[in-house]
Amino acid sequence: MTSRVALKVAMRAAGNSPGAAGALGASLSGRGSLWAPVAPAMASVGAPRGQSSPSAVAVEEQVRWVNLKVVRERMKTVANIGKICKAMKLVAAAKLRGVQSLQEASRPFATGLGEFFSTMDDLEAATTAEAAKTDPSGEGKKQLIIAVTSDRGLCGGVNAVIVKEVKQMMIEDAGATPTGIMLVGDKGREPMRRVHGDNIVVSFKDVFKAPITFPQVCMIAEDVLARSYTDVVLVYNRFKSAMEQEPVRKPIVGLSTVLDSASAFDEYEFDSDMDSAQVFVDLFEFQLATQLYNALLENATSEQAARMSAMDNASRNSTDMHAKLALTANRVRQAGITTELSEIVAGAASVS
Amino acid sequence: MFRQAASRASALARQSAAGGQRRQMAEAVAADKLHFNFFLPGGTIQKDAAVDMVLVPASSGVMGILPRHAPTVAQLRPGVVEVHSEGTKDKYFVSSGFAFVHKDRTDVCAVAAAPLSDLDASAVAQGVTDAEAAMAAAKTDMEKAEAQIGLDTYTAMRSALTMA
Repeated sequence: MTSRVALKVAMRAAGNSPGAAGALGASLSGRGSLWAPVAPAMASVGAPRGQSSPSAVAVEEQVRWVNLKVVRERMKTVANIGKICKAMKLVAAAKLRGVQSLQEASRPFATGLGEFFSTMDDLEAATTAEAAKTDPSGEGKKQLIIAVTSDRGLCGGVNAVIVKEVKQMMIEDAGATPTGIMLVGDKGREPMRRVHGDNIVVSFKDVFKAPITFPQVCMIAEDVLARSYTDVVLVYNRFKSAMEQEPVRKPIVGLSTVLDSASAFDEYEFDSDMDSAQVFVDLFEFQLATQLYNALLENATSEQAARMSAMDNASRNSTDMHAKLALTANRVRQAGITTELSEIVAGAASVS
Repeated sequence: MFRQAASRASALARQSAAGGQRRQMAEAVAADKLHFNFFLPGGTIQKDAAVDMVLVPASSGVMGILPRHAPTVAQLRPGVVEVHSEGTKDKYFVSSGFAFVHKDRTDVCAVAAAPLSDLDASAVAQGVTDAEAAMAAAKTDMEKAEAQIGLDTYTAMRSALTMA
């Protein structure tokens, strides 16, 4: 009988609160307590009748059975969502293996090129410090932020952190340098458009639909070069492990800086049938494409890894919720049986 | 361009004919080998390999890299990268890229590469015809440049195959 009383209390409490449907939705994320998700569900069915009918017993009977039906329907929904999440997790795990091996295969290529440019980075650090001294205003600079996001959602926080990072960069810069934002991947567009819509110069979608290839990246790199920015910053998720990804800002030194600090490569001979400045330009373009390729692969790997763990959590949550709902359903059923029994006993007693 | 490539290729032929001379040079540095890496965006062909000599198709002509070569950056044009090691010659066709000769090692970073034996002669011949047709049909500078690249690559492949 105690459970019946508790049910009634919960019903009354929930009957006054609006947004039962919202609570239903919120409970999907597994945050609700045992009663919270179910009680409003009952209220949404039972409360209007309870208010209109003066006969408490009749109402309770209706509520009891409908309620059990609602709980069972929710159990079915939760089980189905759990199955979908589990399937998505398995798909993400399979895709992660594929993209991770691709990323590992491409790593020597990127490092081979990166090591060559690292001689310049040391020198470049010195020259930029000098340049900052002479030209604190940073005039004539044009910055391009390349934000790499995924094309599809349901992958944890990987896209949100990128959007956050870019917004942070915009705040830090405070409009000092003209900044353009290039979006690679579709999920950054909506959140970025609201705040920095004027800064977005171009957005690529369906980049990650098929495995990323170098020619595809070259197309994006060509677009970057055509826009003649002095500074380019790549923002993407770096893949640390299947459980951990972190957003990184990777500045790519501009062409003018490369040409200015050409002395870093003095020990190298430049073999070309054109002038060596042209080799530098080509080398810079090659470097940009390689960095971009690397960033896209890192982000694609992070996306699949994040989706895998997000879906793992979701399917685990749905199992928990299903267990809780099963408990509730059993209690409700038990309460119904108890009520019926007491009614029969009381009826028999009144007859005899 | 084709004539240039052909002359480069024939120069390459003469070079390999004069094998005796080269062998002498190789013997002079037999103590150490060339530390060689061959990278592609989608994979690695050779990593930390010890080879005798590498021939790369640099934009100014075929460049032979022996151990203790002076540090050089060479832009590659479509052509054959030859890796000589222990008397065997591995030939790869590369589309473009860069070769970096560092003090202690040599990296070749190519955009695309395939073993020369994987090239299909009839497909290459067809490609040359198609590229020539595209060249004739090209109107704008952009189209012409694109067709020229295709033609250069296919003729380089053809000359590489006739050489092999």
